This record gives sequence, structure tokens and C-alpha cells, in this order.
Amino acid sequence: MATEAAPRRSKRLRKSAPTIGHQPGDIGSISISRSPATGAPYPKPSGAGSRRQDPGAGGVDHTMALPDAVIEDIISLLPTKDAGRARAVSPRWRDLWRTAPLNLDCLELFFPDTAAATDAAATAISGIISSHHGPGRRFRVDTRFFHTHPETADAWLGSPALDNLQELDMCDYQICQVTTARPPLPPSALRFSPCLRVATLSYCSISDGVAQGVRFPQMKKLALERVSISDGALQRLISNGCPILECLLLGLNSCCARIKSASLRSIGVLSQVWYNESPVPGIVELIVEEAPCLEKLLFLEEHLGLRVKVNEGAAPKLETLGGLYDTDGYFRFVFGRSMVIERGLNVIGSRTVMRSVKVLAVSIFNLSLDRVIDLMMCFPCLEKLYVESCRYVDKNLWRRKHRHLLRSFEIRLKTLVFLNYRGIKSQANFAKFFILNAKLLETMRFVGRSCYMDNKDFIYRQYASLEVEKRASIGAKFYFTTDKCGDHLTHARHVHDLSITDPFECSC
Amino acid sequence: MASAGSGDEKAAAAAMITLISSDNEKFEVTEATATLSQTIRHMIEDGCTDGGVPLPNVTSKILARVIEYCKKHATAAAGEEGSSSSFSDAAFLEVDRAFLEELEEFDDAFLEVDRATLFDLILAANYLDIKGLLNLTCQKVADSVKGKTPEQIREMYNIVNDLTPEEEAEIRRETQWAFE
Repeated sequence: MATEAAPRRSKRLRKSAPTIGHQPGDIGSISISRSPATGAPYPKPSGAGSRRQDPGAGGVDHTMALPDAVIEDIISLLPTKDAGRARAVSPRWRDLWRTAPLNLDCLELFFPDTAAATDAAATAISGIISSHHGPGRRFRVDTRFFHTHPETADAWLGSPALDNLQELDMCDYQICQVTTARPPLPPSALRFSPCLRVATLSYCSISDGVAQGVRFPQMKKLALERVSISDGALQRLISNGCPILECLLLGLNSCCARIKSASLRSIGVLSQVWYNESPVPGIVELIVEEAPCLEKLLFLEEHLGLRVKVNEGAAPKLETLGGLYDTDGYFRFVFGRSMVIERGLNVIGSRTVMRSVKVLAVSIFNLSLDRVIDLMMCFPCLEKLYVESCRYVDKNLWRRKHRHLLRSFEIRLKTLVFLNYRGIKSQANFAKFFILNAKLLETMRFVGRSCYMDNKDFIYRQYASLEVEKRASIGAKFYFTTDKCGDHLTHARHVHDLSITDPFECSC
Repeated sequence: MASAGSGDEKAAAAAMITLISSDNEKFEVTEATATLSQTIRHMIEDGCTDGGVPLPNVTSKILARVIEYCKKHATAAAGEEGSSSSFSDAAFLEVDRAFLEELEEFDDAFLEVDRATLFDLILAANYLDIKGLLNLTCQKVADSVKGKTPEQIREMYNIVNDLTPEEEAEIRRETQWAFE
């Protein structure tokens, strides 16, 4: 449901004005048609599947006709718990569960929060694995088992139940763990290198020797989180070890990653700030040297110590960039030879423009139109801008200051999404600038807390103060939406999410 | 057999294959469409397609749907091949993306069928070895099973419960983690 209005040029907007037609239920809820992911990673919820069809269906058991291999496929497409429960459907389903490709998500089944619970979970996991014949489709496990039960966990990886594993997700949720030397990547995990397509490796170290020799010919999506790896080894792994890699997610405490890949489409960087590992953040440096297919460069969380360099001509297809955060005192983004965005998101140097960028997301602690306009001039073909602001001390000098500028600079923005909107003057002025000057604007969305967005009066007042009737783009539509998912700029956390078309679009 | 003799414009692309359903209906499709089926691909490779390919396990109703799917996805495959050779074309990305979205919409609409048809499609996809279609249809069944109790699954698909109470109790014991 969309709260939308493109009010006509009426002099006054009255609270009872029927043209705006806000229904209380409408306000704050909007159906965002989620851009279909290019490679939809998760099973799509089925629309009709849950509907009761064929009432009675003549009593025919359709599953009887299906060969065992097909039932096995269906079982392995189910979440682990559903697959286990389906054993009780019939003797056939009971037995086929053992031969179906194993899709074992240990995190779905167990919360090993105490030593006893960890023991019990390890025993249960061993039971599941030993009762399966393989092959393995997906194995998701908490790395803590490799510390608490090293031999058992190693036996899991060595089991025939996981032969030919396609997806290995070794995640690590002990986020307050103090850094000690990270254990080496279990050698038994390397036996999957010929078949793995998706992998998350966490809290381990990968030696130069291992990185030198390993090759993942089928790997499309790789995440390295809190992994100790030398810069050289990382570079080798990306450039030579994964020849068809499309998505790379890096959550390293400090590194200098040189990207040279003919296949990479999306790079994501996770922040290590919150892991509390060391009081001083490490510098994460990303140098894109040659990535002809790179479309997305995503910084998924607020960062401290991020430095990015995109060599001239190295990423001709880079289309989506962000979030850029002005709170990172170490931040430096260098593009080509002379464009530099410094800490505080100040643009210095000449504005070598990045024409390929169409989607940009910025988080500005102190909202400043100047800074955003400066940034936009670096990305003159920008169509979609996400702005998140935390505090509002803008001096609102924009009217005079930007008048001359607008003669030479055309704003091509089609969509502006304003996050954390609460309608105070500096925010409204910021938005108004785009309303009055963005001639191609199609959509402007204000996302904020429900106390604003569910308030009819608030929205009426906003319409008046934003001067939407004077908008430069007659066709522009304005939406007021409740923030459903907290205040994160990006909606990606897993390496699968990197293939979402627009990871800043909220589909929560 | 319908002759494909006049298709000289693009000899390779226009090579036609005739598929014959169990009820003897003939469908003429391009080789690119037909070879989405590994089964047919192998027959072509072995040169066994003269006089048409009989598909005794597939009715004309289902075969028509399968061909509809293959046609759409063969275009997609052709587009993907093109992408690697022309990635310097900036506009391509947009086209590519729009097409993928369209493809996803097509798949969603394609699955809007009754249960009997869905299972026939699975059988056809399995027999013809069309990986994408098999995945798509199996996922649909998996989605319908998700979150259901064994009783609900049995009821939904008319599966006769021939597990003894003892066997069922044993399953619940063995797979305790699934019933918690």
C-alpha cells in the first residue's frame, strides 16, 4: 500500500483535503516491489503453494509417480528441520531422507550457548551426518565446534555425507572473543575445493602455502570474515584461486586487498568495528586494479579505517556504490588519478567524474547539502541517491550558494530516498532543494520512525513545508514510509545478498 | 516430418527439431530450444532425430508447457553468451537486468498451475533432463511442504500413512531435533 500524493497546484493544503486521501492505515506502509535478485539465493516463498488447491484431488497420491531422485531433490531443498520432520510422512520419505543430498544448517537446529548444549548439539550433528550417505549440498556450522570439539568437527568435514559439498558456511557468532591466534582453516575443509560454489570462512587463518595451492574452480560467492590471511595470499586467492568468482565479501580486521578479477561483479566489505577485537581499528584498504565486470562496491556497515582506491579505468561498469560514511576519520576514496573523497566525505582534488555510478548511498552524521552536492558532481549520472543523516546542524545556506551552480550542473536524479527522516527544518530544506531543482525526479521517499510516518498531521505539515506543489518534476511522487528494520543503510549481511540488485532498497 | 528447408537465413540457429508427444501431436522447435533438454541434446549428438523425436512419456498438453519454458530460457541462455563478448556495451547491463526480472516473472507465472499439472511438469522435466525446470518445479513443491506437519503434508498430497505407530515413534526419537 502506498502513501502517495502528487498534489495539484492548490494554494493551501487543508487537513481535510480529499485529494491527498491518506487513510490512517495507508500511512507508513508501502509495498516496495523488491527488485528480483539476479541470482535469487534463497528459496522464494511460494504464493500459491500454501493455498489449498484441488480440494479432494480425487485421492490421487501424486508423489507416487515421482522417482526417488526427485523426492530426494525436494527433501534437500527444504530447510533442515522441515526435511527431518518430513521423515514422518511415510516409509518412503523416511528412507529417502538418508540418501537425499544433505542440506544441514546446524544454526537452524541448535543454540549451543552453554557447554552442555554444545556437547548435545555436537552429538546430534554427528548423528545426522553419520546417518547420511551423501552427497552434501550445504553445510552451515558455527566455528565454535572447531575449537570445542576439534576432532568431532574434523570428522564431520571428512564424512562421505558431505562429499561433493556445494555450499560451506562456517560462521562465527562469538563476536566478543578476544583475538588470540586464529586456528588454521581445517585441512579437511579443503577437500571440497573442487566442488564448492558458495563459501563463508570465518575465524581461521589461511597460510600462504594453503592459498598458494588451493583452487576453487566453481566458486562463485566467497566470504572471508575475521580470517587471518596475508595480503599476497588474499590477492592470489581472488585472482588465481577463484577463476569464476562473482561475489566477494570481506570482513577482515586489517588488510590491503588488491582486486584483479575478470569475473567479480560485487564486492562487499563488513566492518570490524563492532567485534571489539582491538581498541585501534585496522586499516582496510581495497585497491581495485582491474575488475571489468564489477558492478557493486558495497560497504555494508559503518566503518573505521576504510581506504578505497579504484584505478583509472579499472571498474568501467561500477554502478552501485556505498554506503559512504562521514564518521570514519580514516576514510579515503580515491578514484583514478585525481578524485579524492576524504574523511567527512569532503571532495578534494579535481572532480574526475565517475559516469558509470547510478546508485549511491551516503550516511552523513551532520547533514550538509553542500557535501552531498559536491559528491553528486563526482557522479554526474547518478539516478538514485540514498541519504541517511543522524544529526542536523546544517546552516541552510543552500539557496544562494547553489544558484550559480545549477546553471552548469544538471541533477539527473530519479529517486531520492531520505532515511531517518523526522521533518526538522534542515532536513526539510535539504529535501526541498531536490524537489525544486531535480527536473527528472520520479520518486522521493521519506523513511522514518513510525511516530512520524504514522502521524497524519506530520505528513500534512511536511507537504506544506516541502513546497511539493512547486516541484521541478511534475510527475514526481512522494512517499512517507515507516522504517521497518532499524537504521541500517544496507540490507546485506551474507555473501548471497551481494547479488541483490539494489542492496539499499529495504525489502524487510 | 515438417521440413525446415527454407530456414537458410541463419542455418545453424534455425535448425529445427520435431518433437512428438504421447498423443502423437507434433511440435517443431529450434535446436537451441530443444537442447535445453539434455536427453534431446544427446539424441541430436547421436544423430537420432530424423523423423522426429517421440516422447511417449509426455502428453501434448504438458509438452506445450515445457516448450514454452524452454523457448523463454533458451533466449536467456543466448543472451548470457552474448554478455561475455559485448560487456563493453554500457547499455547491455540494463537490458540484461530487465531481462532477468522478466524471466523471474515468467517463472512465477509459469508455476501458477494445478497440482496435477505441476507433478506432470516435474516428471517431464525429469525425463527430458531439463535442470532449470526440474529445480523450479521441485522448489515449488518444497515451498508447499515448508512449515507443514507430516499430517498436513500427507493430507495435501493424499499420501497414505503406512507407518506403524511404533515406526512413527521411532522416527520422532531418531530425528528429535526436527520435532522440538
